[in-house]
Amino acid sequence: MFLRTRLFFLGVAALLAVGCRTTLKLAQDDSEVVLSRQLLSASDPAQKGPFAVRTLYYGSGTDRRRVVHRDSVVLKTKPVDGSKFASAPDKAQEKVRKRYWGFDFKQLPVNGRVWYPDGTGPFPLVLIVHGNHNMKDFSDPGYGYLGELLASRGFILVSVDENFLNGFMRGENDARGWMLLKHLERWRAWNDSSGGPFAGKVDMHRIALMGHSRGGEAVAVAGAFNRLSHYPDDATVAFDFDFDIRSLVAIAPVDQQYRPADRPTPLANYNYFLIHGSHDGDVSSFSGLAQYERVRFTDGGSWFKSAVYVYRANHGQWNTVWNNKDNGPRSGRTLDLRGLIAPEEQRRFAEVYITAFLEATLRGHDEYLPMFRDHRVVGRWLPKTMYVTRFQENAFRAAADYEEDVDVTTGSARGVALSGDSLSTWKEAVVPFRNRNSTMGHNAVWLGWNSRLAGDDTTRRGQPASYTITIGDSLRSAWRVDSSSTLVFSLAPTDAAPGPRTPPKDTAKVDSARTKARPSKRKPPKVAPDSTPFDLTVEVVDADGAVAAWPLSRYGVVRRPLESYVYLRKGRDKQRFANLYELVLQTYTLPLRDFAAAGTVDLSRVRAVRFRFDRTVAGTVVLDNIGFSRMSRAFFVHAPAAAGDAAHEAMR
Amino acid sequence: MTRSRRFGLAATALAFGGGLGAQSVATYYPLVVQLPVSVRSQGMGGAWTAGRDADAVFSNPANAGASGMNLGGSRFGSASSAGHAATGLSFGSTGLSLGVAWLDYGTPSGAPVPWRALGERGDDDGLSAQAVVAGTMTYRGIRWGGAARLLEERIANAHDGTIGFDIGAAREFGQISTGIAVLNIGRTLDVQGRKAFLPTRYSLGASAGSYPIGPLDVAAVAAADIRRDGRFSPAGGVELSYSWLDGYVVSFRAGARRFEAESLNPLTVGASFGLDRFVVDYALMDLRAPARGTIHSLALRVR
Repeated sequence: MFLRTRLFFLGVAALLAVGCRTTLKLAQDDSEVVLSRQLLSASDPAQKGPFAVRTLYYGSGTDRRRVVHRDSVVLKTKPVDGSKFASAPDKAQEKVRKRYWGFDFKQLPVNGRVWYPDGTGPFPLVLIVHGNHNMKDFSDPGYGYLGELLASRGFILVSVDENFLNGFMRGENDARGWMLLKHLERWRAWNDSSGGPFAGKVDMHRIALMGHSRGGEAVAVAGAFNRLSHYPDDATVAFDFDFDIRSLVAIAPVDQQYRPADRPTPLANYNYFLIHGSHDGDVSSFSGLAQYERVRFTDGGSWFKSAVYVYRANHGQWNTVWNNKDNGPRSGRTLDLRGLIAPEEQRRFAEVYITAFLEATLRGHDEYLPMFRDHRVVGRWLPKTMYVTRFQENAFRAAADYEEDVDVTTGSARGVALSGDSLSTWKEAVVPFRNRNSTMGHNAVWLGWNSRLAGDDTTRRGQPASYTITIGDSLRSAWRVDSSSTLVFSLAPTDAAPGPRTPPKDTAKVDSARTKARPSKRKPPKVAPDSTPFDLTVEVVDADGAVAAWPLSRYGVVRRPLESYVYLRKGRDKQRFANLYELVLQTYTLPLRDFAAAGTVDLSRVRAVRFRFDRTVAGTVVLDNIGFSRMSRAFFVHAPAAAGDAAHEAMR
Repeated sequence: MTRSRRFGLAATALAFGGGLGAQSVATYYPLVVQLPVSVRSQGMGGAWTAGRDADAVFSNPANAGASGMNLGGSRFGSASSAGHAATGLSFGSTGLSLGVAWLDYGTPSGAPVPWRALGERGDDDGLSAQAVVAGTMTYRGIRWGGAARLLEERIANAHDGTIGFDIGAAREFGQISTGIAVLNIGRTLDVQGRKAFLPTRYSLGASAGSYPIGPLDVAAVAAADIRRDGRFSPAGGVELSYSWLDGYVVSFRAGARRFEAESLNPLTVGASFGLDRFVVDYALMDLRAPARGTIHSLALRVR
């Protein structure tokens, strides 16, 4: 009897434990179809290049914790005073840090590990910096895989040591960014020197900064500081950087942990590339999207920005030291690691996209540009998972970005009018992150519809809802909207579906005005969730009212939200997040010339763009940054499509 | 003056301010303040001077004020039983805790040393009880605490009560927590015509944890008490915890102590199961000859 009782309690305990562990839930994978084509004929950017790779270390030469920065330093550097930018959170931490490192914030070492090509150069310079982690588990060696690859392809890659800013620090990302610029000062001196391994070998006009996590925010801070004459929070600190930084890469960055002058970091006129994993167990919102939105192109230069959301990627696997410990050494207890793609796969994505970005923006290899507009063009290079891509370049003109006012009928430029028909939801609101009470800091429009008419007959449909952006003639002329232009917008379906539409009243009935409709006592019939692929129609209307239309799915996959379960414990994601998915809008680029083949529309007199919600019975989409661009042809694939391959044609 | 020096001076003041000195009285009342109350600490030798939870109201007022609630009870063989309840609230750098504990036992009439009665029910019913209120305040990195105890010992129809006082200090040094306290400062009790001192004691303790070792998390506690008669009671214990899923944890504990209650076996063990904020603690102690029996303790902690 006693044994039975014990067995009973053991059983209950086991059930409790196992029952509270979530089953592996992944969104239905469509990568076999979406990534089935390879339209770029350029060389695989993840392939090693022709250069032999050399490595060296530079730094203080006195580091008490890292042998390589003490004994293997080839180039000695003087420490820099970072006390204006960072300080320990309390006295105890200050002591602990000083005891461990042997220096304080007035003596920050300029340490770096370098992978560089064995050649005469000059080679573009790329700095990468890690983010926050256990300060004793050194993070800077974790980007060696990028160092080996990039150096073989003719880049100098420096993994910057900022481990001494790790640990229990807060609001120190200005120091992280400032340190990057102090490293660049060293590189300028070495390049200008008459001797040494880098004399005349560094192309200081082609510089990129890359950062991971807090380092991802630090590159934006460095980008902003680079063009400032003074430190925004203490103008007694003068800046004199002005490096030719062309490109910034943010890997799963945080945002606004540092706010210059208590504002989000502004950025202008840099190429900006952002990646983030859906299963990030540390920075669990796609925080970098807020910075992405704040990158502006104002000087007429050829800039672009792109962001890729990688389904099943985490925070740490971009760094070989961090790996799958997003939540610390005990991550296996907290995070559902089963859903992650393999570390090598995740890093292959980084190799492909980061190398291509640097090749395109630092060395003018434009053949890689289309993949930043539409990831589907490089299906064979990418790990088989799902991606969402955001994209914008300097030629984009926004007709509606929903930032200007609270009038839902006005666009962002004079002469733009917005209208909706038969919509169940039509509102402009700030785009939320999946984390509670946090937003991306910019607005978008929510459009919801349900074509089904209320009543017992579930097959009755009303006319499709639509949303129209009308542009005036003068604006069309000013923007030179014609067949060379591209319609650009970003859109994401949500999981909300409005209820059936109230049918129009039958005014032919004599007593219809007098008789009050009685609410039906019967429960409304259950309608199965719409499992058909999500789609809608995009129409271009000319001044004469002629219409040409294509389904949106021709220009990119239109997915329902990608739910991601980060935590191992059942219900934890619902508890911690406002949504089980991150609302990541996919950017679609529709060349107007394509619409010539879809109707007799006059593309030199485009009057309106209409989104007609006729391909999915009910749904809600979030729409933003609708506009036109005369974007460079380099962003499109020039390879000829096979006859009858419509999908291929649309991807070009 | 550095903080550690200030802490050292405070420790010294506490240690000697209470009038340490040998006493000739062999009997101490109330019994309930001489037993470890916290079931978690019972599994680790009762060393809880540096432990911080709601039950710390009984062992070091400086560590009281931790938010939470504990309810527990113990059964001593088939003769005696004890229970306690404690709760704490923190408000910024201050905290407040309340606790009650009692011991129900029966002692042979006229028995000079009532400890033996814990395992054998004597003719005279005994009840030993305390109600404690403690307040804490953090000042310059050191947590200071003071407590007042309403104490009562009742044997058969005789009883006496008094108010006792505790003072303590605690401080964290990285992952190490330290605590020092003087407990049970108060007047002598008179029960059944026999005078009994409050068991004033000076206690110094440290706790560390939890450190990951393989899949386990390890915590350790240690304490040393000196009673007013000079009796030295060292104690220490370890806790091994394992969590396989966020929020779920099982812990196993072992410890040893030279108890004030001499009929308690020095070795103790314990275990617990935690689910989010709720933890069920169990401790096993033993009474040694001439007392007989096993002490089972069970508690629910809400963190």
